[in-house]
Amino acid sequence: MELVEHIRITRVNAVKLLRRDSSISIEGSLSIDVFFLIFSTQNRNSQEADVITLLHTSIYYIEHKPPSLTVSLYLKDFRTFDFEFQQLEQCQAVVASLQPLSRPEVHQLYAFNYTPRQKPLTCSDYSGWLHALPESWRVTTVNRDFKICDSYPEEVVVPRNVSDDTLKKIAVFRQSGRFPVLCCLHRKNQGALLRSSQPLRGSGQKYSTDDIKMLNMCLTGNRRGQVLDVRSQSTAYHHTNKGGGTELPERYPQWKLVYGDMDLPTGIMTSLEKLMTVCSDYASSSNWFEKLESTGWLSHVHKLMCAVQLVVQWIDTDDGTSVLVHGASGQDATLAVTSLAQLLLDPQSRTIEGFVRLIQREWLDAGYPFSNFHGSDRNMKERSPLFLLFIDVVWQITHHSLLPQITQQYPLSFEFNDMFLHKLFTHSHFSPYGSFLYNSALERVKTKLQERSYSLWSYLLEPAVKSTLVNPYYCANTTVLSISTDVFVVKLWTWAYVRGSSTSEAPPPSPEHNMVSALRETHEKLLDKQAQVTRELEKLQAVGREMLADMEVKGHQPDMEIKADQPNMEI
Amino acid sequence: MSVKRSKKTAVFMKNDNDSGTMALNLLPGEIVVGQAADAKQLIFYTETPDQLCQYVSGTLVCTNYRLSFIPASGAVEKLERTEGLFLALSSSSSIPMTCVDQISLLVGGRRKMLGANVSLPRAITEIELTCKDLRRFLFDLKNCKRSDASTVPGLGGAGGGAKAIGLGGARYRPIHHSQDSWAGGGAKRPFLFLSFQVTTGIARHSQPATLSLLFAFEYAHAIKEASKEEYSNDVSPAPTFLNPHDWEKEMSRLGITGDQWRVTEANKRFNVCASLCPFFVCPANITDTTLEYVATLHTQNRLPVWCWSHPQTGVNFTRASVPVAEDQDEAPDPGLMYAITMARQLDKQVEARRIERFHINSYCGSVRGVAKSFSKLQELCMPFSIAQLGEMDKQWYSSFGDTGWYQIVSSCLDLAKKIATMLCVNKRSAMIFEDEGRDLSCVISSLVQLMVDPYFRSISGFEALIQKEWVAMGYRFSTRHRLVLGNVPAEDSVGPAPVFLLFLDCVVQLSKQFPSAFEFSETYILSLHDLTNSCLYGNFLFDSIKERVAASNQARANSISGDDSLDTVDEFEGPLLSAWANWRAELSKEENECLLNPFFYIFGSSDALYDCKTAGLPFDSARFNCAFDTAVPDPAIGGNFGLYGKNPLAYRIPPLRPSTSEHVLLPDSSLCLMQVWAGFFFRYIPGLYRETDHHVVQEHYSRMVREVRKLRDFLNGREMEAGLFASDLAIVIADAIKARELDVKRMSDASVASSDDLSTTKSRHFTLLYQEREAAIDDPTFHDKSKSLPSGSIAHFSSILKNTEEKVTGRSPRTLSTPGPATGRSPISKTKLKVTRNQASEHQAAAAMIWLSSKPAASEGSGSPPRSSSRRKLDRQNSDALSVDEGSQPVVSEITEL
Repeated sequence: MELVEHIRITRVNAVKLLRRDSSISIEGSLSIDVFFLIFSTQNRNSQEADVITLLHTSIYYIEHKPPSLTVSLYLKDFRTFDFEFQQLEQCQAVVASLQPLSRPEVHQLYAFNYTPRQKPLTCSDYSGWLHALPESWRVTTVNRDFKICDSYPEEVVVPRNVSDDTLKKIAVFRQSGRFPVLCCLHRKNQGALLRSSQPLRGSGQKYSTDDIKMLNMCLTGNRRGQVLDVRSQSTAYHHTNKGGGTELPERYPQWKLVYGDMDLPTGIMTSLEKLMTVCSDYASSSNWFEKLESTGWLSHVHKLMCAVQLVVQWIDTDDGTSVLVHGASGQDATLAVTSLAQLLLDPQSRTIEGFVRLIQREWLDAGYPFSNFHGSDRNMKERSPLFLLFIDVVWQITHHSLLPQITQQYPLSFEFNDMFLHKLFTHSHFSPYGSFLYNSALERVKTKLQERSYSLWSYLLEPAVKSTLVNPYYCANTTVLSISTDVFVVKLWTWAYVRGSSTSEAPPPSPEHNMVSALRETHEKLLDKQAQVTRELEKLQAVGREMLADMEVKGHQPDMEIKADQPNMEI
Repeated sequence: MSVKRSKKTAVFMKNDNDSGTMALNLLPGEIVVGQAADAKQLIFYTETPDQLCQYVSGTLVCTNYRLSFIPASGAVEKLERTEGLFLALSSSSSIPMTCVDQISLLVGGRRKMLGANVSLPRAITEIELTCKDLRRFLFDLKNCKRSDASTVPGLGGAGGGAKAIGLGGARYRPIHHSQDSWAGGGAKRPFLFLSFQVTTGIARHSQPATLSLLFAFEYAHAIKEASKEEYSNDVSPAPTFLNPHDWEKEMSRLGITGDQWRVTEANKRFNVCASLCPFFVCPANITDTTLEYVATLHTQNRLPVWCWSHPQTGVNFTRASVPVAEDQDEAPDPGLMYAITMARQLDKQVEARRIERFHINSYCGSVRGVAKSFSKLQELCMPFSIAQLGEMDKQWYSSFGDTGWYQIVSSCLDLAKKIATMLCVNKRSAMIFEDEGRDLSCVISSLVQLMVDPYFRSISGFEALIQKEWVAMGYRFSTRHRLVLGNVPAEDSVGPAPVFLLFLDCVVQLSKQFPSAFEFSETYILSLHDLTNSCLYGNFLFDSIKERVAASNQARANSISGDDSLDTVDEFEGPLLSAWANWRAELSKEENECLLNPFFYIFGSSDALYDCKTAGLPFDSARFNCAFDTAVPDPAIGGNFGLYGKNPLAYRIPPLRPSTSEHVLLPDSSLCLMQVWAGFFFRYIPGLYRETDHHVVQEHYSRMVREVRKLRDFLNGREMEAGLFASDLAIVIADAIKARELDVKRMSDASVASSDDLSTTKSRHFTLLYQEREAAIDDPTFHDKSKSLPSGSIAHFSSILKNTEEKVTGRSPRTLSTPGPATGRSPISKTKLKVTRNQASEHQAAAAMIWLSSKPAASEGSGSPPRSSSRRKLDRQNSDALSVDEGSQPVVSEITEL
């Protein structure tokens, strides 16, 4: 069914946009087209005609209780709009149009119809393995044409001594064929960070000798490894009854198993939904802190931070411990842990380009099912907010506040700012760009995504855009970061979550951010000017000297001396 | 004047655990009351997993001002990790006595709270202190030996014993003369438990029996003694609001003249209201007798007094306690209310409408609520152990929310915002009421004034605000901060409550939403809190000015005869030191730097203020005299910054744009935007300190801000230099011209020998010259030709006339002498650069030609041309300018007389 056919009503006049925090409302007209919902004010006197343009796919859910004339739209980026109509028929027509329009088939998405105004940069390949690998590792093409694992990319890194045939055997032992692969090597001690899916051990005592052998080959230094099962012990046990589970400790004597105790994605999703509700009526809540606590979102953030800190502590030892991270499918919390660990371990990934590479490698290529989890899928059950949780933790680590605060961690060490993080968050849910579409590399190749849509990276890395996403405080920090996991440190990302009925897609930069940027700018300008003035002065001096010399030649007494004063300045 | 640290006496202690000595810098007037070696301090928060408690051994020293723990040398490192933020006033090893909140003793395994009428036990094994700044100390005194006179300097030595416990040392009757039971047998027994000695000291000094026994008196005395000549309390221009003059100045700053408001002296003897300051502002047409009558209609006689008026519209802001009459809606004193309503409205558009009345307690709850909420916070932020800290993790947010502290903060900000909107947007006068009018009223009225008046956002303004709204208006510092033992006045049922802290937290919230609006930093706010707890200065000690006067008299009576140092210059200030004149001067330059908000100087301040600061004036004297409407602009840096433009919720629809001046701060008071003041509440939870960037950030900003300021200075200097240089160049040219004048004259004489009419000659010359120039410029071989021409010929002049004409004629040396505008380069520098070597002399000659033509007969007859007045003026300017700008090297080192 074509999208156009869903549109029951194209324009409604005299619609009121209500504000939840005050009694003020504004009147305007609502238009619906194939991709957009447009609300424009009718107030011609006002200088800035307010227009809100929403992608249909940005709607998370629509609330309408029939006798009421108010339709509430909850957006995936935490904005909420309450529209009041004059007739019930209008309400129903709008809801009936928006319901299917907000959940189109993948191929009907706006991304395939969008052409950027500016010619996009040629996007370099951000996938693939970028580090030079040491002897003991190799890139394998065992997954060519996605034969072994449909959620892995075609090229992955494994220990050199493991043959492709062995890998095929191991793939059988791991859920969905996600055999252990290398995420990164710690520079300091060559400790390996690996990820996989759960072993298919079942309630019996099944094991795979190949799997054991392969994992032992990943060990370095002290020949000891750690397995982080991101689930809780009870969940893991529960999974053994379904054929999954964890590695048998007696079969992996060199590996120690620790549970990360994170909730299932469904539990985290429930938290997020509660959080959306709490944030949408922030104005009325007198017991804000209690409500916030009851959502449980911050405790998920906290748990993830603890798990990541644990992994980093294991790897960043003197003799190098290897770490394998997995959950059940190894496609959600696992990816959050491994990508955050890399962020703390590898200074490269703390730059904008490095972070883009990290997302490409650890989320897109590693098979995080973006379309299923974020897309406008009809099947709401399959949603998972792990990517947002990941972005939130990155914010917890990177965010800054102007005044020295105990609760801030590394505001200087990252090149990007919170607007960059917010962009990633919103674009992963709804975007005119195609980067986050589909569930795996396989689907992207099959559907020829690259030819049919534009890349988000080419937009983000455009100099004009990129300059707005740079952290003005950034100074590269090459050390391994160790994050504080105290509960005081975890804060709500109010800036991104409490949005009200904001017209703009991204929240405005914080005043602090503006100020520091302005400071930077002033600084640079002044430096320029300093150089310029210095140059001029030198020239003047030269002229002066010449003149004096000339006058001396002509027999005049010089009536002034000019010092050859080299302006110097030290800061 | 101020007392520098150098004046403090250092007492060296022998430490048993190491052979070295450690110094404790005593303040003037401070004496050691007791000390216990071999004491141990328990460090609560340790990272060693196997051992949850860790002790540091050292010496516990008790003076009449503070309690200090001096760790043995090996233990210092461990202690440093627990060091709080910057301030020396309350570093981790030094606790001002008045900062101690509760003392509990462990005696024979039983815990005993120390309070009034509790006798002090002998064998104390542990002493636990909780402080008003959320610190908790536990000292183990088990190992402390009996007094062994030799280990305690000042105790065993000749006459020292008496001194140490304050007998001979103090000029006033010392504290142990008061009838508290703890003084007990201490003096009778030559050997006593050291632990007992220390505990006695703590007990006596942390909460003395009366206000006149506070250390502040001894401190002030010692300082005045030490610097008799130079000392004067009122060097600083900081207003005290304890004299009519300060009120008048404040009124005139806000553009109020005497016809509607006046300063009344009715309360000079505290007849009208005991808790109000002796002078206050009331409507001009109300007599003092009426005031006295009106006062009786209000609780505690606190009648409505003036706080602030809008300089443009004249709408006013007043505060009072609730009327005694039952019906609070109806004003009990129509006369006064009417007068306030009618008080001058500058803006004729604004009608005199009914005053908007706000009953604070119905918006923000009561003081009791503040006290209750804070005690919950104390529990939360002062964990006993790591285990407890870990337990809190589970419901941190709900238990934090449960305290309700930020609900109060948010409601205070909300009410203040409402009132500020009323004053500035709706242009209506407002009046606040509170049960007693001396607690939350102070918070609200100060907040309102911070929001509407940029002056109060400067350091001097903020201090004036606190003096005006808190000290002068009778905030119960002594009762609310519990400075003396059991001093809860009969009419107050609440007791201790950190209302001042509440205010400071509100200011922190404001400063987070408007980061460049305030001159001071969060550190300043924190330090101010520590300052109020340290009780060194007279401002924060009393419930009212009346009490201050009484305590001063008492202290004078206590003092041993013939001491005139307690005689006061000011009747109301008493002998005590003023915090505003002294406290920042006590700090080092670096510490002072920490008190400033770096961004205020870059984005927030007017240029006038900036210049004042960089000129090297101490910022004490940086008077903020800007007119109301030209003061601090909003921190608008790019983007859409209207009233609602500064916070995350800025872009809600519709963008409200009330027609008000931009410098009114209207914060978002939603509870969800309140940020926990981690700097205060988590300050002493050292577990939070990790190796993160956070400590670098402040340094980072400051460095950048310093750099920008330095660059600005540098550029100002360089630009001036460049300007001066250019002008000097012009002078050289002019001089050369004058020197050539004679040549030219000779020449013209030669060419038109018979003519006396010089001007005709010149005009003819010019015509010629012009024609020649036109020809010459067209000629490609011109330059070669001109080179070969003899110097001084007219053809020569024409060759470069084009280049020089406009510059030299267009800009006389006088105009050049002023340095170029701040942004542009100086005009001459740009153009002069084109002058090439072989043209230089011609240039002069051409200039000379023009000089001649423009000033006919200027130097006729005189041998050498007179030095032009502009030149002399310039010299003066140069030297002035150069002397101002010390840092930069003058390019022109000397200009000699011709």
